[in-house]
Amino acid sequence: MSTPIQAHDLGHPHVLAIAKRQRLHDALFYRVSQAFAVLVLMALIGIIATLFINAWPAFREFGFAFIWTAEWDVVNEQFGALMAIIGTLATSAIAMIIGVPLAFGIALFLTETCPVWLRRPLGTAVELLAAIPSIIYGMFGLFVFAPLFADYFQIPVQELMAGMPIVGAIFGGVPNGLGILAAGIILSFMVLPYMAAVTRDVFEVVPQILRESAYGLGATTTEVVRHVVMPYAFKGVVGAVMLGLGRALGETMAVTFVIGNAHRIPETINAPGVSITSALANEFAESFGMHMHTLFALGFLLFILTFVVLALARLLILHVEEGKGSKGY
Amino acid sequence: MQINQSLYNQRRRKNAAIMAFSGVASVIGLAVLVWILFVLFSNGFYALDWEIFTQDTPAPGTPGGGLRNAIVGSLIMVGCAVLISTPIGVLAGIYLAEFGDANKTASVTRFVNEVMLSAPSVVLGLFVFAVVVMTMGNFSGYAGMIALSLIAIPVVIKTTENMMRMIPGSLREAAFALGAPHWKVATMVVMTPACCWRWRASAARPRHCSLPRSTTSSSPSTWTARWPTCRSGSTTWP
Repeated sequence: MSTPIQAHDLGHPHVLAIAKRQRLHDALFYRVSQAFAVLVLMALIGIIATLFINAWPAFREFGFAFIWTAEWDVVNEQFGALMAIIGTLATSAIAMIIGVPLAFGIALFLTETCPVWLRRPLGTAVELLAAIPSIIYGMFGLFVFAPLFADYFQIPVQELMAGMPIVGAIFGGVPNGLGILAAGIILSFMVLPYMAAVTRDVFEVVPQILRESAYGLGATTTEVVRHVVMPYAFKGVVGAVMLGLGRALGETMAVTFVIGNAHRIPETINAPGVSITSALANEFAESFGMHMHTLFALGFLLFILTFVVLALARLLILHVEEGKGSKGY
Repeated sequence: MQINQSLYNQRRRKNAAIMAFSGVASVIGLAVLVWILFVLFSNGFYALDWEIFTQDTPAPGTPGGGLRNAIVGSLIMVGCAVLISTPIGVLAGIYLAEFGDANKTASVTRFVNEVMLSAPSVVLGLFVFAVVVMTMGNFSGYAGMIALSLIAIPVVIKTTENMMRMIPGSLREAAFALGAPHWKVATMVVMTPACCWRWRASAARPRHCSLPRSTTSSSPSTWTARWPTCRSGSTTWP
């Protein structure tokens, strides 16, 4: 260039050329990044469409009754999803009943009572637990947990409750360490660190000055958590629970190892059962024809189930935020 | 000063009970961790030797042998999955963070990403089976790679967007004021510190990082690639 360009000389052809080139680059950048975002959209549509197309023969054959039919006859090709749905919901419910209070307790301990020098190592340990592959939970459940569970929980509890009318029936069944309850407990071990770590993060975000104000008014730690930390962190806590629930519903390997894999409706919580994911893991590789279409239908139902859970969590958060009148605190 | 002694004692008891519960919960959580790690090491340690890494898995019933095929297969598959998922995830994340305010496409994509994030890995495995394995006619490393990428992409998108949104707006505005085009602001001003943060965050918190999640997902890869059980790995591997 011959003459140096002055800052105010915006009409200079060289400056205009740069501006034009940059505008082009920006437009290109916008389009490219948008294309990748749309790609993700297409992937989800593709997943749903593929699952539905492959599941369609099963839905056409069995109709809506597929969802509440309790039959799994591979030879005669009579299938129903009820047992798998019950197994999935029951194990996830047990995992949540055990896991949510424990996760909440751990988060509480890590943010409120734990000495400061211990917080980091303990928090890291919880996160380490979250990084253990789920198949290790399954192997641990089958080889280590199940025998101990049978000897030290199922048999004593059954002896204790043998005479009682309702609880005795609930805890009945062959005490071999495998079944719905064992799978639920292993699942709770598995989802516990996720929920604990996220809840801890959410609690930590609460401004310290809010806590100190409440303590200054004479509140106990419990009251501070109940009336200050929880309302502030509610959205995140719901998110943490939903993350755990989503994991529990979709978990495959850990459940398959310990659920017992019997296609029948579990009469007691110690009875072996089957979940959607364990049916898929066990049978998919050997399936063909209607059997395979049915397994695709099970996968489709699982997808819908997790989707509904996510949508409900969104609705719950929206509802609570509306009740507060404003989003700011 | 007068205090209601019974109410005060009641509050203190309740507090003590709940604090004790939270302590017990932490002990249980850590005990489970220690137990699992102890079982893993005590059973797995004596089985570890060089042959695990240097020899292939033999036919069932034959003594000796190692897991070389499975280890190499996992590494290749995870490496390729990272190569596929990182550009897609990072670019889509940039779109959401930079152009995603009050934008219909972006809000739909964000919701879709949430759905993908919570989608069970089995379902993704089913999809890849239907699309890749059924059309190609056999299990392959490609299918495993695609399944793992599908798991990793939503995680990468979400982390990228969150990290880019943490960069202060003043930094961005300063760059714009100097006349930097948007793509330079996004890639050089916003991404660079975001990358550092992201790396630190993922090093400190494994669950933010997509890598552990994709390396440890066993269900989609066992069907789509059949690597762990596949002795003739080289025939299915391209």
